[in-house]
Formats: sequence, structure tokens, C-alpha cells
Amino acid sequence: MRILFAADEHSYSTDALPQVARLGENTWADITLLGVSNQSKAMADIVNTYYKKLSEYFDPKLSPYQQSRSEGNMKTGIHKQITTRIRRGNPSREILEEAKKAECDLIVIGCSTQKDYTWKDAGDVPLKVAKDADCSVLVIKEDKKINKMLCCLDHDNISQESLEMVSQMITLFHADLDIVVLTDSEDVQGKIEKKLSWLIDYYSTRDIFPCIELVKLTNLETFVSRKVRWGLMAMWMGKKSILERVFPSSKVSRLLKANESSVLLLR
Amino acid sequence: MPIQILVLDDEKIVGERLKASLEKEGHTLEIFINPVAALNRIKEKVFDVVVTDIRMDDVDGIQVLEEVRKKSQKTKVIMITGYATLEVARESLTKGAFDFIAKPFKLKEIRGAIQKAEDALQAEEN
Amino acid sequence: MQDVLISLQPDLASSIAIRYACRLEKLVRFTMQVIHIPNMDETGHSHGSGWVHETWENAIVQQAREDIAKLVQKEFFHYSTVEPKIIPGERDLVILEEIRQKKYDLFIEGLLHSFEPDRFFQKLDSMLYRSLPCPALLVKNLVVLDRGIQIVGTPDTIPSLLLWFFKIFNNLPADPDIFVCHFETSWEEAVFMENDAALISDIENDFLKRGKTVGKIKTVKGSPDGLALLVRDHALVISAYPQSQSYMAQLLSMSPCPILFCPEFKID
Repeated sequence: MRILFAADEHSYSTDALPQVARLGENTWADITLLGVSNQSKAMADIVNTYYKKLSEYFDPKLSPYQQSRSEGNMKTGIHKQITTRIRRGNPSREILEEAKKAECDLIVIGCSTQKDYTWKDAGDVPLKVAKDADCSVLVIKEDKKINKMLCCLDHDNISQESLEMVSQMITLFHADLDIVVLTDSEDVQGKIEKKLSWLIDYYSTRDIFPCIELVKLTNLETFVSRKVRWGLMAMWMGKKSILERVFPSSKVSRLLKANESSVLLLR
Repeated sequence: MPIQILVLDDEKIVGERLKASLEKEGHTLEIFINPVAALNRIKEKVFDVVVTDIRMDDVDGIQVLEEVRKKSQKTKVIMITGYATLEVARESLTKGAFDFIAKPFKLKEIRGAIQKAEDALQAEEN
Repeated sequence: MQDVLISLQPDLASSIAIRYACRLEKLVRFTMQVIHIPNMDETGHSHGSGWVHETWENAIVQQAREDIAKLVQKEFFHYSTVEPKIIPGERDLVILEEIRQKKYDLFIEGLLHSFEPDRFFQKLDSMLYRSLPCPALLVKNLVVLDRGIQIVGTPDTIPSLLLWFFKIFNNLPADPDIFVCHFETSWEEAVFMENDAALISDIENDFLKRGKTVGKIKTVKGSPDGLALLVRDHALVISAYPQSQSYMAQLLSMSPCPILFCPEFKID
């Protein structure tokens, strides 16, 4: 797995760092720390601080990032990389470009603890990244315990990668999985039932027992604002996603803003 | 350099995807979905690379890693997991896994790890 | 050993219900009879009468028998030898009649958990639930049973719920948690009360008398919405049949857990 951590100089970025460390240590991911600013010198110092902080999280003898793994022609195994990058320009554009270039599987980005999903000096960068990235995006609001993962999946079209990313997050956070089924009416259509049944089988054979909850599309916003205050909300937003099809992008932004928790956008 | 690879994953699709891609490069692959059968094969034969899933019924990937180590110090073991915990990641490291790949992964990623294993094997021979 | 009647349709809710029931059966031994009431409206109306109508009905019953047998076989082969009962008719009446005749100890069915409580309330309002002589287990989700049992009630209903618990789950190794609700719509957030010592002591004594131990006992004040977070994490919630739209019904509509509704009358 390749993770891109996109950061600015504010405290919410520092707060998101422990989750990057946990993800890295659990998955042996290659990590890129990216700072975007027009003041490159100041940002270089900040990114270096993040690098040092991140390195401090790891046990030097039990980490795939330890230098000794890079010696002796990989006798001890592959040395996983933590690289630092500085980019100048429009933050969301630069983050998306770096993610594409580095072929990332996941972008992790912190954001203000308010409901607006912003970066202090650059506006709705996290929201733009979440909406436009080709890979999954984890937007972290504060470093707080995540007990539940609420997956708003489009059950007709979910990708295998999304399911795998969900499994990794549940494992990482030791969280319970709630699957939210978006319905147009009172009844769950046969096609969705089949997919859901398959999903329950998929997870239960892996000792994960998801709770299913039906929600009418028209009530989704209310549901989100009431239900996800204590968890991580995950939404599948691939090209075939019902959210992309049914909602205009302004509505998706509103949906995210109605939510007080961290968000994982799956692709 | 063509190498001998054993792939073990209880999801059939993983082995199938790897087989098509790696055989083109001249490597010899043995694909297993049954961990017990794979362990028996590992006891019989020294492979250059073993690619194994971690969470499976009956046998887990760590046991596979241990069995490989008993048979040969040379074999490079690449662990794949859909449920990456810190405990398993650390155990893999201390027990000498060559690489640890968390799902979702791109085929390219495993091919890259196998290429690096091949390079390491070659360097060790020289 | 208890006798259980489980109502199945060829759908996801039933598939979840039978899986859950089979897991429960491993902990609390019971015999399980499957019943299915085919929906004649869905399969179209027969235009004929007499022999034509009977043949049409037989064909539907046969098809339903195969569908349900498939579902049972897929979920739990152990019960595949027990012939499901396929009885056309008005669903609630047929089930009620079967329960009364055969004196089942427990009725089980599935209902997918929904953010909109309408279907849950309809269920509580149904003739079947208002007339059931035995507890009904409504399975909303497939939850792992090691999460334990939570008995949810008001100070008035807790004593009879404990009796039902001891009757049905007497052999269960786990200790149930007790959650006593004092509904106060003006309190949005749940407030844990510390002045319910007498009630807590009564509950503990009840368990002690039977040589059993109780889990955590919480007495909490709040609105249904405020308390909802506290009835989410168990494998089974045990409650009295609430009046539809009551605070208790509102609270239980928000719980994703399987719920065992117990009649309020005294049991032996």
C-alpha cells in the first residue's frame, strides 16, 4: 500500500499524524509526506518536523522503515520508504497530482474540527481532494477514538478495493462495521438484497459481522448528521456510485459537512 | 533469472492473476488455495519465493513463514493481508518476512516485490 | 427444551433470522419448526375456481416449499430434514393459529433494521404481535452472540422481564446487563442515575436467589434519542412488548440488535 499524507502547518495536520503512523506500521505502507505551500522554506521545516515525529512513533527494531533493512542487498527484507515532498501552487491540485504520480492507494488528510472540512489558510482543500481523487481518501477530524465504521456503500457496484480498504480500516481502528443501505423506497430491491447477502457472507467468513441499516435516500442527510458523531463514515464514491449519480456535487459537499466525524471516501 | 514461486491464497483470484502475469516472465508458479496442501509442498521442496495470505482457515500465514524458515533461510516470503494488525506486522518482521503487502494492492506491487526478491537472491549468489 | 416457530420468506431478513436462530440454538437448545406463508398476491390471481384454483394454489405451495427448503438448507443443513410448513392464508392469523395449537415457546422472524421506524412500528401494531401468547424474537441483524444480552425496561417491566429471561435463557453461561430507562424527553443526553439503589439491589437479589450473577446494571434518564447509543452493542435485547409509538418503542426502533419481546403477563 502507498499512503500520501497531505499536510499544512496547522494542528489538525499534526493530529492526523498518529493515524498515518498506525496505518504505516500495520500495513508496511510506503509513505509520502507532502507539504503544499508557496513558502517552500517554511514548509520544508514543517515537513521535516512531521518526518521526525512520524519516525518517533515507530519502534526502531520492529519497523519496516528501519535503516538496517536497506543494508546488505535486502537480506533482511524490503526497506519501506518514508519520503518527504514539497510542492508549490494550488494545494488541492498539487495533492491530487502527487497522489497520481506516486500511484497512491490512500490519501490521508487532516482538517479543522468545525463542520466545514477546511484548511485554515486554503479553504476547502480536504473536500476538493476527497471529491476529485482517483484513490480512496481518509479525512481525519481530530485524533479521537473511532468505535464504529459506518459504510454508506452503493451495494450494486462496490469495488473489491473498497471492501478491502474497509476491512483494513476496521482492523486498524478495532471498529464495528455498520453498512448503510440506501433505498429509494420501503423495500430493498432483489438485486441489492443479493449483493448484501454476498457482503454479509464476505465479511462473516472473515469474522466481521456487519450491522445493516436501511436509509431512504431522501433522509440520508439527516441520518448522517445524527448517526456518525461517534464513528468514521465511509462512502463509496466511485464513478458508478449512487451518490455520484443521484446527488449533484453540491449535495455531496453538504452531506459531508453535515457530518461531524472523520470520513473515508472509497474508490 | 527464472525462479520457483509458490503462491498461497484462499481467494482463487489472487493466484490466477499472479499466474498469468508471472509465467509470462518465465517463472515457475505453483498455486495453492488449500493451506495444508501448500504446507506439505513447502516441506517437500525449496522455493525461491513464497507468496502467502495471512488469514486463512486452519493455517495462518505466520505458520507458513515459520515452515519456510525451517526448510530454508534463502527463501523470500512475501506476506499478503486484508486485515493488517500491528501484532501480525511485527511478527512477520521478526520472523523474517521479505515483504508485507496490505490489500488492496495492485498486481504491479506484488510483481515489484517478487522482482526485488529475485534481485536479492541473485545478489546473495554472487 | 423449548419449541420454536420461525417464520421465513425467501429474502435477506429471513436469511439473517435463520442464521441467528441457528447460532442461538447452539447456546440454548431448542427444536425449530419453519413456517412459510406464501404471498398469493405476488404470484398473481387464479382466474378459475374449484379444481383450477386448487391446482394453481398447489403449484404455488410446491414452489414455496422448494424455495424455503433451499434457504434452510443453505443456512443450516441440520434443519434441512425438518419439513417446513407451507400454509397459504392471512399471515398473522395462520401464524397465531399455529402457535396456539402447538403451544410454541418462542416465535422468531427477521426484519431488516431501518432508520425510518415505520415498518418496526407496523410490526408492533400488528394483530400478531398484539395477540402473541409467547415471546417474539425479531432479528434485525446477524450479531455475534458473545456480545451478551441486555434486558431493557422501565422499573415496572423489569421484574417480569427477569422471569422471562430465567425461563428462556436459564442455561446461558453469560450474565445479562440490565438497562433501566426513565424517559424524560427534555433530557437530550443520557444521564446515569445514582439514586436507584433499591431497584438495583432487588435485581441483584433476584439473581442471587437463583444462584446466578447479573452483569452491569444501569439506570438512566433521557429521551429515546439520547438513550439510543446505549442499546446498540448487545447480541440480544430483551424487552416487554411496547405500545407502538411509545418512548420504549421509539428507543427500540433505533437499536440494530435482535430484540426479544416478552408478554407482560405472569409466567410459571
